[in-house]
Amino acid sequence: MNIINNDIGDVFSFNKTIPILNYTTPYFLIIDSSNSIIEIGKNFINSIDGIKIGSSFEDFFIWESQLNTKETFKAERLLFFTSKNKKQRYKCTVLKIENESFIILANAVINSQYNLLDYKLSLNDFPKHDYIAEYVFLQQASTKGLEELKLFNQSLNNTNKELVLSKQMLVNANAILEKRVNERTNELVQKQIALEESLEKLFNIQKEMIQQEKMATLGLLIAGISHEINTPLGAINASCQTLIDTVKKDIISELNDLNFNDYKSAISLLSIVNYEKKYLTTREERELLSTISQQLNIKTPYVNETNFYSRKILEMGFSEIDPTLISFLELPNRRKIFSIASGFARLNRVLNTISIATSRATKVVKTLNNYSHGNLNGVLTTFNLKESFENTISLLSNKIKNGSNVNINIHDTILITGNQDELSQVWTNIINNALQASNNKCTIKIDYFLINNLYHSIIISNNGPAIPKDLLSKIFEPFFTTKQLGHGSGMGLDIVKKIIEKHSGKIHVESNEKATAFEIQIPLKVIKDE
Amino acid sequence: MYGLVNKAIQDLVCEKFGKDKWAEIKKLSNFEDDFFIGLQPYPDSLTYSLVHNASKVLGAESNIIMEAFGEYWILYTANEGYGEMLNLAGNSLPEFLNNLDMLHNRVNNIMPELVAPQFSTRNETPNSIELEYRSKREGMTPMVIGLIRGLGKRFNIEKIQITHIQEKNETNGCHIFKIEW
Repeated sequence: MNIINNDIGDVFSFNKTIPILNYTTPYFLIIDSSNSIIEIGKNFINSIDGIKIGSSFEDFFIWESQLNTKETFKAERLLFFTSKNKKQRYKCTVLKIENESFIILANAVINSQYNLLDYKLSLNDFPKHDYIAEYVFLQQASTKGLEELKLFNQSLNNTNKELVLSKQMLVNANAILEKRVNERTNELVQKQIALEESLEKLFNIQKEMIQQEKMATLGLLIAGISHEINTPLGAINASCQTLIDTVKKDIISELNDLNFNDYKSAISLLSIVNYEKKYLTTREERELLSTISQQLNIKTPYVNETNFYSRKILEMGFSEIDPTLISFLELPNRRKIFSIASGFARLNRVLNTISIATSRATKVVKTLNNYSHGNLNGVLTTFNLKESFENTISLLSNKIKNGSNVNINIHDTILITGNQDELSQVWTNIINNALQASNNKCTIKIDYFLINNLYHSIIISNNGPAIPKDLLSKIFEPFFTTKQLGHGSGMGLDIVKKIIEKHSGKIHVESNEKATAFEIQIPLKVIKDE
Repeated sequence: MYGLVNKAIQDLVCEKFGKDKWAEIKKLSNFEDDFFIGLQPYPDSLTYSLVHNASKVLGAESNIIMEAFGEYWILYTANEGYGEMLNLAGNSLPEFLNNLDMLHNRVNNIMPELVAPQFSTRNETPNSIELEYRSKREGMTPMVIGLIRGLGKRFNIEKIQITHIQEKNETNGCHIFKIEW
């Protein structure tokens, strides 16, 4: 057999060629010009049932080009054909040999080791040098690799799903955590509030305990003081009476020096003396003295020393020349008679003041005792409010006349129910504080309003120095004072507050540069504590 | 070694002892991936570590683990689709042992980083053969014994006797096993 192919060029023996072809290219076919198979490679014999020399190529195979064998060979290229049962596929090249024959050098197209079953072959049927074994191995490894990649991808997907799930769980956990943190924070805030409340309660209890301790001490102190003060007060009272008796005797003694007519006149004059002289301001006193003096000049021109008699008449409690006085002014011994009468009136008034003051001091001590016990004790009476203030002013007249004015704007008919002594103490404390703070130089106004027919509203104001704002809330605390040591106990306004509270009332203070005002509200109907 | 070897160790442990044991071994060996890629080379140290930790976790000596693995390797590669490759090496134990180098050479074409051992046979009789084993790695002889046992099963040899008749040293350069059946 001579191969007619310029690329190969060699011519070698047909008989020797067949075994070589079977070893190197076990898939080969030689066909003649009539398409009859004249030689068959061993792998075709093993894998194609019924194929034999003399068979036609088209009986077993089909060219993929859909052309017949002769037409296909003209193409001179890589060709593909399949077995008629379509299980096997081959690729091949075709060489033209002598006598219009062709040699088809083919190879099975194998995709995996499992393909080998279709070809009824094993890798051992291929030449040892053939790369088919490595190809099958690589194909298998590649398939396995793809499976691994699929598994890996699936694992990644699962991991991803787990991550998404974990993220969601984390978000949920975070939300739960946030909720718990909020709840816990709220609990803590509530606990803090409760703690603060407890602390405040404890603070108040502590304050109350300190207060109670102070009050207990104060009670002991007051008990001691009461005893110590009541004793001299009793002595003063007794002495006062003795003094009155003595003075009376002295006056009578002086009167005895007079002749009978003068004696009678003096006794008559003493009988009309007004011992309850009203409190007068310096100005009022000055004006009254001037009026009396003028009247004396007109009505008794024969009386010299009008200033002397004016003062005596005023001291006797007259605010004008009473017609009854004129007859006494005509007496020759009038100077002595008027001196005795005015002296007696002044003395009587002073003794009366001492008596009232000691009586009030006694009541103050009693009030202090009541204060330390904390109840509204004593008799509830209905009394005239304006008179109550006038009495207080009278007691403080020594301080007031040094440069202060007091205006009581209360109608004469206003009545108030309460413990008169205690309420007098309230007025005294507030007015006395105003006088002390202003060094006895201020104007004090006392105003009255009726609120809803339920409350008396008494406003005691002064134009003295303002109370500093930071001290306003403390002035009603016991033992609080801005006065120097020894000048104030710090109990005054505390006592005031307690007295007002015992009367179911309220006290409120406001202070600025223009004025300081205490408003006291006391119900019209006060119920006594049991 | 290629991932295929580590995969075989994984399959052996999972199949015989369960996935939990494998997870424990993997954790002790600091290997965090879920899979081995068959055609990817891994450091030899990882394979040694897996065997060492398998020994710890399973409570068996490394030699026993290696021998079991050698036997399993033959079964595993056949099942994994490399049966045809094994067939190429022969239809009998002596023929297979003779062609082991040829088989490794073919595999080396596909796995260029493969560092395969070398095998040659001598003194072949109808019922025995001597196998010379040369390797750059140490401590793999138990695996070779396991491989021979696996091949015995592949070729349906009921009784097989393997004797390690020569230890490798600097002069001889190889281990020799006498195989009788």
